[in-house]
Amino acid sequence: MRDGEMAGDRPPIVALGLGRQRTGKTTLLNTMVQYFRGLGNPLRVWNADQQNRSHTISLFFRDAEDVPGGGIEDAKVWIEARLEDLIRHRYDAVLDVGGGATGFSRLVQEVPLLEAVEANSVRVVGLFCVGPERADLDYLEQFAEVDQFMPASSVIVLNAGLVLSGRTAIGAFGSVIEHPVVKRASSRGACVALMPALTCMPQVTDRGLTFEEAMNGVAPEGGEPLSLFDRARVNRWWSRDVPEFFGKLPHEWLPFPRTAGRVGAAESSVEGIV
Amino acid sequence: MLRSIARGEDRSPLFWWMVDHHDEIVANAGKRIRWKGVCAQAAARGLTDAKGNPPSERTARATWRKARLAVAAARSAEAAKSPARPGSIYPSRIPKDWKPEPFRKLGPAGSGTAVALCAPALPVAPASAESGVPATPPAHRTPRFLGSPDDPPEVQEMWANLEDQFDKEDRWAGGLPVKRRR
Repeated sequence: MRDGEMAGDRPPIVALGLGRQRTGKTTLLNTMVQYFRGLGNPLRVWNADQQNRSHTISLFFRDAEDVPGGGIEDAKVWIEARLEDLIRHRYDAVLDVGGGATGFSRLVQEVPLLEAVEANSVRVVGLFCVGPERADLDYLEQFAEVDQFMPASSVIVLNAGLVLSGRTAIGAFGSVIEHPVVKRASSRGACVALMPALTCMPQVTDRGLTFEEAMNGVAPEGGEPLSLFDRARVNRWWSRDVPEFFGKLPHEWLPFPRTAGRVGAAESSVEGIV
Repeated sequence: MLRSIARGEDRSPLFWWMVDHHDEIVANAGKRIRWKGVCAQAAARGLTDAKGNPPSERTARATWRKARLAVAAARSAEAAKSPARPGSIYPSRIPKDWKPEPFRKLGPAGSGTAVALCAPALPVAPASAESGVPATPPAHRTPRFLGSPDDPPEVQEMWANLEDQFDKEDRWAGGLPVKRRR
């Protein structure tokens, strides 16, 4: 425990969205931030995704902090500064590192990042987003086995929203689950979880709405609200599927508000949102 | 159901035997499968791995994982198919004692054998009076088709959780078209 932290407090959490492009990192982090802010944790949002302009986490949160400049080196220096700030001021944050070669991957190759951050009593949570394609595991393989970046708190998030029409999720993800890199990760303590699909996700995100606004029929400026059935879909997903998804993950890996009790307070807060 | 698992040449005789006897193996194995015994039996029956060799313990374990996954995927796909159209059976052909599915377990009125029609949406663990948190931690569950029986209990619990998530996702998808999206 560090100076300034209260007894019984948990360490700060930095959750990293990792994975190749178009595997749902931004969607997962967007969901996570909305969910845990709704529970009362004002966690910070860091956007280091330099390749995505039309669908970045900054579109959903006005207070998101973006990497200045467009170079990999800019991103690397910026992430380093953000992490130092988090270590010093002890808050929670999510970081969207973007896909492909990024400032984050450069940083991981240069310094033993994980050890450096965790040595300062900060929990690093790796959220490895994968779809049903074998190539979606390349990023996990690179980070976990080549760069040796595999936080003790790692979740392999199987994104059910990427399952092709007509396939079952278990059939689509069968080869991914059976892959040795997933087996090795799970044997080292990584959690494998299925992120539930929301079939009308683009209708929500293209409008720039929060999930709560979408299900309550809020219309974006100059636009239309969601259709009645899509509102019902968002309602079910947001009020039932998302809490169940986070509820299956280890509690201590998640940025629950520090004042909330372990079970009861979190659940009552969830009910307050929906 | 088994026909829906693609019968390719890359599958070994041992795999197909395990698929064909899936439920039997699950029922008899308990929590732990004795792979040495399985290999001896497989060799005696002439069941080989994909290379035509008698299976080693490691191969048998890996084959069993694949067989469980294949059976789970096939069953899930089958369950997701649309049910028969209501009214597709003439009323005259319906047995007189037919009852809708949720009511079948009900006994005659007043017999005292009625059961709950449906389970609560979320399992409710008993809570201790003071803390409000579950009084006893839930027991670790054994996954049906993911992971390995040799996994530690917490890993088995994680796989069992994932199986629940797959069940739920595939049940709600209901075979309706789901476009690829982020």
